[in-house]
Amino acid sequence: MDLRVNAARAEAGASLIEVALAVTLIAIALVPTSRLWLASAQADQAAAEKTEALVIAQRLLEQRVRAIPFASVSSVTGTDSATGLTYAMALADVPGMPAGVKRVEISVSRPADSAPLIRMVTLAAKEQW
Amino acid sequence: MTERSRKRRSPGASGERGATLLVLALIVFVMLTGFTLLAASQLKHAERVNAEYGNLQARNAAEAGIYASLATRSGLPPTVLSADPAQVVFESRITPPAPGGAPYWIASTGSVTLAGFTYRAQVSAFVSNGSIREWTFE
Repeated sequence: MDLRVNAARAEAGASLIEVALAVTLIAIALVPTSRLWLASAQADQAAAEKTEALVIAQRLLEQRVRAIPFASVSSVTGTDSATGLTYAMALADVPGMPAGVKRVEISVSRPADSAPLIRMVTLAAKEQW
Repeated sequence: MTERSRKRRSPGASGERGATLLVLALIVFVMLTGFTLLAASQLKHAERVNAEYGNLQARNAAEAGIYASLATRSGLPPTVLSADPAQVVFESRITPPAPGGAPYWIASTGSVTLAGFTYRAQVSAFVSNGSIREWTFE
């Protein structure tokens, strides 16, 4: 009888204590790595949005600034149809510069957020000297 | 089951269990390593996007120096374009210094300090008859 019990124990799978210990060890290892995964997922999403915002800002700078009349327009706002991101472009005179030079400030943000994803500042000139 | 057969089977049974545990441990290790590598590459990608943002801002600042010098026909000392949240500065010079009506070059440096990093860009423009004829980006 004793021999049968011993044989059955030897062939048995992992005991409850062994499984619990393994699960605990894996959980301990997963806690710090899960934080890393969460941080990287957030950084990845932010990077994707920032890339889209950069494309929108550069497109505004290279296409829209040339197309709008400097004298009458002080700001342009809109929503990018592809991404849903909102943009605002403000043109202002620069003290000490001829009227043809404008300070251009572009900010791109998520519709719900007040803080912009990116903000670009540069000067643009429409006239020739 | 005899004493002899028990002694023969026990090492085999515990060996199988050990092998199963080893395979499971390897699977967990490979999965953890893979996910960690993926997370590291995502963080690196985010860093590169931020660097690209800084480089673009610096180039726009340098272009601002070109337009400012084109308008004033003179080199400009370091000029702050924006101070918050990023420090955006440009500086330009023209060659020859007093071009008169002759063609001339404008060289402009833009710099942006963003989250503790400073990004720089250099842009040159060749001006003839009041118009930019050539751009050079470095």
